[in-house]
Amino acid sequence: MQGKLYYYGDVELGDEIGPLKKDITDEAVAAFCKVWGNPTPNRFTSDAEAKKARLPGPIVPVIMSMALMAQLFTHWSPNASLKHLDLVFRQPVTHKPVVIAAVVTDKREENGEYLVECDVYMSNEESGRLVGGKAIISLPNRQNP
Amino acid sequence: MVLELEYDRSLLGKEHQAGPFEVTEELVRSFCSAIGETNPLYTDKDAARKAGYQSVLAPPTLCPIFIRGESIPDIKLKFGKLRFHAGQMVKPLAPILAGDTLMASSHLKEVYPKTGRSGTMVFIVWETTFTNQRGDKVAEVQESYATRE
Repeated sequence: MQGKLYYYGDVELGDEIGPLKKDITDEAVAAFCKVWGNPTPNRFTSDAEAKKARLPGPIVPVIMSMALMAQLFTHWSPNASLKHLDLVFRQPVTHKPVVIAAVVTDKREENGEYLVECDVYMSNEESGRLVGGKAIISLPNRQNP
Repeated sequence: MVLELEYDRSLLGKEHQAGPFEVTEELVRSFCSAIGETNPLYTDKDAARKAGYQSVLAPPTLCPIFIRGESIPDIKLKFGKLRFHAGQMVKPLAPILAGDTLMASSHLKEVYPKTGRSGTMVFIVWETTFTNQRGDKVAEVQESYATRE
């Protein structure tokens, strides 16, 4: 397992989760397109196809960016369970190293689950914030296992 | 001035079925490998069994890879030339395991314009519900596409 185990009582409003650094390579994007069943070359893998779509270069599929952002939580605490992830893509995500992080904005008990709500974002050095959104995770509670 | 949008409104709320989609161990392994996921619950059957699951779990964002053109048809929107994927939401509702078979049901949720500094964009929102072979809802996914002039 990657991270330490966090419980509901360990987390406070304003706590930061991450950062998780991911190096998005051409090979990883091509492998993702294969899993997805998206024939290549396409705007995710080819410079020429990306230019045709008026993009600065090959981009990362939205659903791959989402999968990477979800990893922030599973890497942070293996007992965290993702309940909701809602993302807005502000700029194309290109094949460059990114940083993913989150800040805790709310905690609550709901239907017997201990929920932690976060603002989550992905950024890179060149373009700043690329993706932003909200995540809700559930954590176990030591007081009420 | 209110923008009158022209598109195939008969698609609003109409369900489009897609599937079955087999969640195989190989698919889960390949998905994890592509995103660098190493959580043993997704990659190691023994670890998953120790945690009480019959097989490896699928990562919580696996389902959107099954949504393709056949499940979300063209709405024939007469606005803009450039379309891009602007938003994505996933709400996992129950564990998805290798060996599960999923069905998807998608509908056009809404189409609306939004005007900002860069001009007017039209957002197209599709909502998809995934169910497993037992009929349990396992995930909801929402995808937003923006079109600009």
